[in-house]
Amino acid sequence: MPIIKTENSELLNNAVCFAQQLKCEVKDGKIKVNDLARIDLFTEMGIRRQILLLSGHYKGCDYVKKVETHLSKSVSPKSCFEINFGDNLTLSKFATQEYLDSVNHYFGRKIQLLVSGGSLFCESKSLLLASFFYRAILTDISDYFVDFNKVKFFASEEILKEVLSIRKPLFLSCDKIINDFGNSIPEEDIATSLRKFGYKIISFTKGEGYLILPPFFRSDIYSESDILEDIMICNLEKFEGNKNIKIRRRNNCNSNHNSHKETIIAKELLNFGFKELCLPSHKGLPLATSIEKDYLFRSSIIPSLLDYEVGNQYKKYPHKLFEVGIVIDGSKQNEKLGILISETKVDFNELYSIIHYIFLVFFEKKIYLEESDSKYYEKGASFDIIENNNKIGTIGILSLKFAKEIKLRKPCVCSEINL
Amino acid sequence: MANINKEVIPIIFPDHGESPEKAFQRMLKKILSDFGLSEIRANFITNEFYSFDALGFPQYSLFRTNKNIVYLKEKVALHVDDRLFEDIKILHRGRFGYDLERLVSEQAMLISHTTSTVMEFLMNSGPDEIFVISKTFRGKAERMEKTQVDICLRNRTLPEVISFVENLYEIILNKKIKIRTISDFYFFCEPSFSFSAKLGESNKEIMLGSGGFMREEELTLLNKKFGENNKNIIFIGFPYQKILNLSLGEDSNNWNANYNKILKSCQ
Repeated sequence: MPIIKTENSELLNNAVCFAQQLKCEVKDGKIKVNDLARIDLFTEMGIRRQILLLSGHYKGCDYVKKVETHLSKSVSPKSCFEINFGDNLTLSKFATQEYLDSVNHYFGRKIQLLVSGGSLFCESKSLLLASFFYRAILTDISDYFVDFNKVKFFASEEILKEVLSIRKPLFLSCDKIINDFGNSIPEEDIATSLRKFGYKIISFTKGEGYLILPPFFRSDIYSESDILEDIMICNLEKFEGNKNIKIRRRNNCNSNHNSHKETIIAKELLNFGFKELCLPSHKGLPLATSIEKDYLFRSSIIPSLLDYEVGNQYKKYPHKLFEVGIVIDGSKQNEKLGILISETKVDFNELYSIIHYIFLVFFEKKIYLEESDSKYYEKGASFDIIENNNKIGTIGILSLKFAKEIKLRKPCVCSEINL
Repeated sequence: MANINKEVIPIIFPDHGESPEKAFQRMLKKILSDFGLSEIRANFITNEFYSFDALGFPQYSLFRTNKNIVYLKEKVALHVDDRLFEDIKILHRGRFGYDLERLVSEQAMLISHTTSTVMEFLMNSGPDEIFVISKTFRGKAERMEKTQVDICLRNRTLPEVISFVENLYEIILNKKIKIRTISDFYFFCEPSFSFSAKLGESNKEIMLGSGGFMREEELTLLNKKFGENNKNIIFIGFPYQKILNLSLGEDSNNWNANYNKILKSCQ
């Protein structure tokens, strides 16, 4: 988040008082601004201006007039501008390293501010963004630099046009306020809140709404949602839950089909003495080294169950585990049920009969087995599970060779079924 | 009389029962369904359009880095409806002053937050009161995989939303909760807010969720697309792991809890 370093203890104290309205955190002489859209708050001057506004002590000036009278020379390309402060000292007061870092960090690909020879240069690919920054910088300079006339501005005609044209009045309807906030905020408090954020109320019609002109430096005001936000944060203490408010409930809510299926399977397997697991969806830990290039998402649940089993062999047998989870195969996602039974003598038929029972009784699906030759299962104990001539899963006794490779001490019978 | 063998010892399965995490999810699903919300399932594979563009994250946003995006091994493009893409492109041009690049928008990635699922549903099926519980994936070593809960309400005022959240927590945690509203910032929500409450023995202030109202221009777009007249749409995200920890009586900030080791007896 943009950080403003300051030694001004009064400013820091005020920032603490208005932390909710400024959406900032204050710690160790630093103000951390959370609202990335409010580029006018990226500087100490911006914070000071907003605090003065909130406390009712801000005296703004006619920025539009300043734009019109002080900006004449045109530069190219069209979305760049230059501000010459006359000397480096004045410039460094404004364009602090933290400010330049914040802008370059958060808008790096679209806007860059550079400092050289007493001038601040803005390079941008976006005319709109360049004009946003132009407005914010111009306001800071005219608010806090006594020698405003010494500062020279060089901007393209396009930027000047954009700076002046994007500031249009917005209409905020009373209905919208009531729809979002109910009757929590009295009318007079709405007007006060608007003034605290520098809005100018052009007109107000009772029951209809407000015609509002946003402040010159607020380039983040795009629709009435942004105005509502400012009204809300000035009146946070007025919003509270009311036990008398009846929560409207609908009767026609849909229970998701797959969720329902998962619940039935889990319930039945739990009744058969299984332990339900919720394992990580990435296979093979540690992952830290392969984060960016090679993200290994599991394509089967059985390796996760085996992974868990290997680490829990000290527990008393039998081990009966299952998990319902999502797997990704290539670019396709599937929901699968994985089951594992491990004990001294594994009974293949026990697991098959449980699966058969659940599918027949609860989902009315008749399943049967067809011999297969999976390399992970023992020969003669490896089967595909078939339903309606379609393969929906596999079942088998884990090959002893493979079990030895992964250091499993007891035999295992595993199954995986598409849900 | 039946021949009873008194020496038979009942089989006790030493390690069995529900996964506390899955049990909690089932409970949460039931509560939210009882509130009248419909469950939607998340697609683990989504694209940058629904994850960021549709939510108003500009394509230059620093949030859109490899730390928050996990791309698939195979580079796949997930097509976005032309009209929808153009509508969102206009919004980005007006608000941020640049043109969306389709190539970037359609790039397939693993789900990084559940709000994208909610947005995808709203954009394709129309506004509704829904919830989603799903794992999400990011490229940070400390946050590779995390479960999130997102709900979407419509035509409700902020005091109603606060009451909803208070009710929900009172049912989950079985105690009285007084919610405090705090200001917050999200690209896709204005006004945006967070909720906190004093909980636990230490009476510590704990963040219990955050969200906000869908921006007006997007709401207008949705209403126009589906011929509806919704007055507002509200997104709320809940700190899943914190609530899970609280409901299990653990420290709410215990991010490394191994829930598979916690036994929960079969019900």
